[in-house]
Amino acid sequence: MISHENYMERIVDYYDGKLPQRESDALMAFLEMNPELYEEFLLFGETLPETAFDETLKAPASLIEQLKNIPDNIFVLSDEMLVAYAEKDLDAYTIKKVEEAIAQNPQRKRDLEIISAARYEADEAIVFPYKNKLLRREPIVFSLRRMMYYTSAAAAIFILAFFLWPAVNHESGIQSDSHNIAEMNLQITNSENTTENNSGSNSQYNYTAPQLADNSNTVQRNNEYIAPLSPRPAGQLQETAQLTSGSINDVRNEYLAIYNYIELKNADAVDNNPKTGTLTAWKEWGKGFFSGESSITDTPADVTLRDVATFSYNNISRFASESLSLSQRDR
Amino acid sequence: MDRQEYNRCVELYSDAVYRFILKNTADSEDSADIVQEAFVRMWEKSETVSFEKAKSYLFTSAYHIMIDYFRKKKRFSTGFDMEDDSHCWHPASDEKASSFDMKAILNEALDKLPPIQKSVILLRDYEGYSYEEIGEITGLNESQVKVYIYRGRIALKNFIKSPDLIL
Repeated sequence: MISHENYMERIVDYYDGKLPQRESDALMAFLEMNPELYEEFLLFGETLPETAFDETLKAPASLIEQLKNIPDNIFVLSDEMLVAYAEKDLDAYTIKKVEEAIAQNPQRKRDLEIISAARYEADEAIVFPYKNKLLRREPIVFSLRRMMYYTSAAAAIFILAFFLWPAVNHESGIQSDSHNIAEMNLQITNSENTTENNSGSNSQYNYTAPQLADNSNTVQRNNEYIAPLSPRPAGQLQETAQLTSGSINDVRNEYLAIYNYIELKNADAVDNNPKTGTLTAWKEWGKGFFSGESSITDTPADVTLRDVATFSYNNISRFASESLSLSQRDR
Repeated sequence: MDRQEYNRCVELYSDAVYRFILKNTADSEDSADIVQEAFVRMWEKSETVSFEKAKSYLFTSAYHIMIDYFRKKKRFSTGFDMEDDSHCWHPASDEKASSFDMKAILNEALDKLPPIQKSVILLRDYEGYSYEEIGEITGLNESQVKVYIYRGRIALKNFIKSPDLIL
């Protein structure tokens, strides 16, 4: 599109023979509509042959001589050149030129020193304060497979425990009917109230009937009431078991109950002279047992290991949970 | 990049990226946020970013996050005209000795530069990056980087105009 802004370029191209035919036609049409420009077009064309094609014109000799003798030391040391020098962006030849120019110009040397000094160094004292937050740690993966593994293991342990653990009826103190278990209802009464029953004995205990079960008994049989033993003096007891409030939860005192149990058991024994043991002997055994110095087999009485173990278990539970004796005694 | 390599990058580059951003923003909390964001982006792209390219990736991400940060804060203009000599610091003769602190002067001069010049000069000086690497980080071509560095250096030189300050 030819306009008043670019028509001159088209005219020049036209006379140089570089304008395509189509644009030449457009130029002519434009000039026809602008007669004043057409005159300019003609004038421009008239001047061309004299300047463009005069091959006889030559440069003046002085100019040629001047051009031949351009001194080598013309080197403009600009700021950009100094920066390039400082940045080591120059080739060897230019570096040499820069250094020569700097040597001759103290001001530029100073500029170069300023540019070289204006460098920044990282401050190592500045550290990122939340580095630990950026670190990625191994996540704890609770996979379904692993959870199923642990669940299965726990279930297996529970089932094994269910079948292997002896079934205990804690409330009654009686185990399953397949075991020979004794239940003793130990009632501790006020010594004043028991004076009449004990007929002058120094025992503070009044024993109700122990329920001894044998292997053939059923649960109903275990719960049957067995006629209580007639009160009898604790003649075979060398000492009196003393229970205090502080000793209730002390499992070492279970030997006292064992001792009482042995006495009651021996009361029903055919042999009238069983080995019962003294309370002192039982105390010593109890201390030794819990300190690890004596075993469950060397008790002071003729009892089976099962009797001791079973009775111990029942009495530990009873002493710990019911506190039966002192509540009555303190009252 | 696996987890160990990522953590190694944290140890190696977090301080450098933080210094670079802090120098540009002059705000420690914002800088920490930008660095964290850069590392988060790298972790999200950890499958495609190799350990060897991690440093460049971190600087690039942090730089662009910083640009967004500037845009949000509308702090992109500096008001510093490199041609305006009135901005240059001309200490009085009697205070030259006492106020001579090249580091402070440099920091002051740096703050006067346009952000882009400031960034390319810091990348050049702090990390020793080449023009090409700086171009990758800033999204400029090599010639543009060169021009910005040259202009920045000349502006710094003009700012530190008094030869007595450094000689």
